[in-house]
Amino acid sequence: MVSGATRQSGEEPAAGGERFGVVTRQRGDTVVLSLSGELDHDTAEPLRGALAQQVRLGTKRILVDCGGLRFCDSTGLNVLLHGRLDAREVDGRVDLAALRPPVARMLEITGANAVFRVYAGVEEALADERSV
Amino acid sequence: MSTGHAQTRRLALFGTKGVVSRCRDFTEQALADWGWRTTGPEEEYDVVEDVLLLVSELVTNACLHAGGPEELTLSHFGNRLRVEVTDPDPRPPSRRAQSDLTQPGGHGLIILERLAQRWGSQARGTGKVVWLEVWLSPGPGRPGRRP
Repeated sequence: MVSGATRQSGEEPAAGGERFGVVTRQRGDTVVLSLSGELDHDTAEPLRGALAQQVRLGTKRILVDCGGLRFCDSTGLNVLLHGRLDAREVDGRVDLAALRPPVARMLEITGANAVFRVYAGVEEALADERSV
Repeated sequence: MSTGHAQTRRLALFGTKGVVSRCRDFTEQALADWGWRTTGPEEEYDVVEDVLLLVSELVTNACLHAGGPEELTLSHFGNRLRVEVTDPDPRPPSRRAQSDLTQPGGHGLIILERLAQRWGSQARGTGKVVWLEVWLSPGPGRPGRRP
């Protein structure tokens, strides 16, 4: 099922250091970006690069798997919102899955949980045929 | 926990690279030393997570809009925590609210308004300090908590 797993670290592998990582996988028509660590001003660049790459490729559905994401602040949210707007320009979408409590709370406080389609897990998201 | 007098910790900051996560680590350690845990009852866990998010927002704001943070100060008085971030820019932070939640920008302010008991800024030296306060310990009517 999993093919073409590559580590995306943008131009500068050290940008996220050990505090953040993003792995890109193709799953059918969906591209899954699996995040790990802490997403903030210091670590946003690799995710910005990974989202921009999928938009350039014309990916119709980007699923951001937050199962390994321990922390995300408004800078991380901004990267996701920019990615969503850029994806819409090419008729694509950005969905979220597997939010841990601190990340879910940040999205709830800011109201951004109503902006994204949020799934309990990656498999639930992939099984949702509305989005494929 | 101390109740009689304030306990204060300061972290001097230089540049903007890596400072946001360093400030969170510093805060997490201080809260742990002051008896606040990152695991355990959900109530306490949430308070620590909220403080880390607030620290992240204040420090990021100084990085993006105010020439970089110069110092992070945490003061713990009784059940209250005060967080201060100094920067070299005398202009007060923008309180611009974002009405369209789908647009990037403005969400940090929403977090500050929702999670901090109170916050503000004042001139300090040739720059300013942006501060916020949070109730740390369980108690009646803690504004800023989840409704």
